[in-house]
Amino acid sequence: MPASAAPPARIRRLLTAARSVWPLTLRGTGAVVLGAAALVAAQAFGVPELVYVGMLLLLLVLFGWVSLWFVHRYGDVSRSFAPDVAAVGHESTVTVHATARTGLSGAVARWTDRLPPGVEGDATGLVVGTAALERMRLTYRIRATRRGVREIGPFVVIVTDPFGVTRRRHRLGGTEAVTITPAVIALPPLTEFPGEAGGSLHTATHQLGEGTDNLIPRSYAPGDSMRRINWRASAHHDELMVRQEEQESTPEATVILDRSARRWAASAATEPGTDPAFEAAVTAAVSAVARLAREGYDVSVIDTDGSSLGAPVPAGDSLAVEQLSLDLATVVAGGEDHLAAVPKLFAGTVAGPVVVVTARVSVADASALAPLVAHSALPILLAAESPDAALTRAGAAGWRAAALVPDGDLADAWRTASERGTTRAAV
Amino acid sequence: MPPSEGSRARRGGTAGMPTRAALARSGDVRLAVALLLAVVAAILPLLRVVAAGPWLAVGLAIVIAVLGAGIALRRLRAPAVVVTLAEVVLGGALVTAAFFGDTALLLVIPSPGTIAELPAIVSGAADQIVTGVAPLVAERPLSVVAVAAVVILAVLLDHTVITARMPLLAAVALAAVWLIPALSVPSTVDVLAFIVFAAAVLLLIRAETRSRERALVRSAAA
Repeated sequence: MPASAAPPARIRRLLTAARSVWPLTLRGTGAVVLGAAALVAAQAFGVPELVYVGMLLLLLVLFGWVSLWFVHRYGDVSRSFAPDVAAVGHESTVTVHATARTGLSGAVARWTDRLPPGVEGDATGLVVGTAALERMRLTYRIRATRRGVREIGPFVVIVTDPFGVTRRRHRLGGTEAVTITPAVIALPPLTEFPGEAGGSLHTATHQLGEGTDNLIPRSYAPGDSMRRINWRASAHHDELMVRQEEQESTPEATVILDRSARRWAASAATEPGTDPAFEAAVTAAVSAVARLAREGYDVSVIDTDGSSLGAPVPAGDSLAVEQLSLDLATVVAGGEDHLAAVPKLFAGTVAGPVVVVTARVSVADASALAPLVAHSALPILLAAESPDAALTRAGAAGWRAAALVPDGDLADAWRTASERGTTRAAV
Repeated sequence: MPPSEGSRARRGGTAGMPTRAALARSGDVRLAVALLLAVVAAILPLLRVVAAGPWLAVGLAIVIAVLGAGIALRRLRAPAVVVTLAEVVLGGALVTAAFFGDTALLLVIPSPGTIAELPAIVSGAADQIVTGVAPLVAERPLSVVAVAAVVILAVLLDHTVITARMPLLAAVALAAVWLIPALSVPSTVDVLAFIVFAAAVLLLIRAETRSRERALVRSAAA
């Protein structure tokens, strides 16, 4: 008996498994053992009374067992989650609706909802009273710890008989999936390149061939504001001219999440939420998207081969960020290594900020990435598990590089990256 | 203290589980009554061996007093050890008062004179058991031993059932007592006595389970 000293985890797991299969409680097990011993002793010592005592104990257990298998009837289970989607590190409330009908005692039943790895919470409790069992409405809170689609359930009701000798676990309903999205971490704003002003200048100027100061006057029409009249043009055309609406162009930013299999641990390719480095990368990617979208950029998320990893996020659209984090909830590592080819994706264009999230960057990789610097207003490289030499090489080429540390402070890495350029320029 | 089923439930890690202290306070009267009935049912067949007499009434009165004291102390939220010790002291005092009132100090405190009487009592009772023919008529030595045994049994079972919540273990002890006449005076099985005994044991186990359920209900409601 594991009375006081905590047994090793494996033994404890075995005990738990054994308890879930074994239909008798400790008391019931004791009753069966004692009953059998009484029957044996009755033969050995010739005491017929012991047969009666032994049969009493065995029949007690049998009665309890029968009462659980022929009297209880259970129905269906449904769950609802609020919010539907939980981000890593956030909580969600689960509401379970279940129906059951009990016969004899059933006054108290224990329930548990099995939580998968990656979801934490206390999904156990008591149902009290037959009326309450008829229509159970139970709530509990879960805390998501790992990204991915996790199956919650089955719902288990444990009932014991009136004498507490047998127990039965009823598995009700199936499992229900809950999507756990990567955590979105609030990153510090880009002090140097606010998208609404400087950022748009950089990209929009090049792409459209016109700046915000290039005005096209047109004839005055009734309803135009007097303040918009361009007097110089009016004098030139000899009629009232007004400034044309400024061409609104939204700057674009790109976040590249390197999924290639050789850059991450093998576990990252099998299931989401297993490799801490890859998790940090996904979190960094979606957090960068959220930051850039807030700054006023249209952000697209692509793999190193240029394929899209999720729906593009329009500037300032936080719902689209949530949709993107849903898309990234199930992303796993895999595919060929295309990091060296990334600069080709931007050849011939001048992009806005480009954030590359990758890992195991060698000095050679850093050199291969160097040409991209000329095409991006703000090249940021977040690299996990990479040697300092590679980051230094990337930094020398003009990248704002920072190491990505699992469980480290992402905001710190982001600040380091976005400010490294400034200090380098100052030096 | 043995790891009771109560502590096992607590290790289950559910917040809604009542502590053993809460369990000990729930349904204590019902449990004590069930325990009294079980003790009576277990010693009834004993009357085939030792003839009924004043010892039976005295013994039952002391058992009732001891169990009542247990209920009262648990109501006052006394620690489990204190309850059992107090029951031992009370049982000893009452037995002293009943049989050794003339030598004891203040009626209830055994004096050296009382202690000196004990070997003679024990040997007298043993002599009566060994040489007597059932049913024995309980003389003073046998009465003292029988009453003391019943009181000790009651205190032990009180601790087992109400404090440690292990009625099955108590049932084993009761069955042992119930078997004494069968072992000492072989005869045909007394089915009626067995039915009474079985009913009392089932009642005891059910009373314990019920008190546990009620404690759960109360803790869930709170």
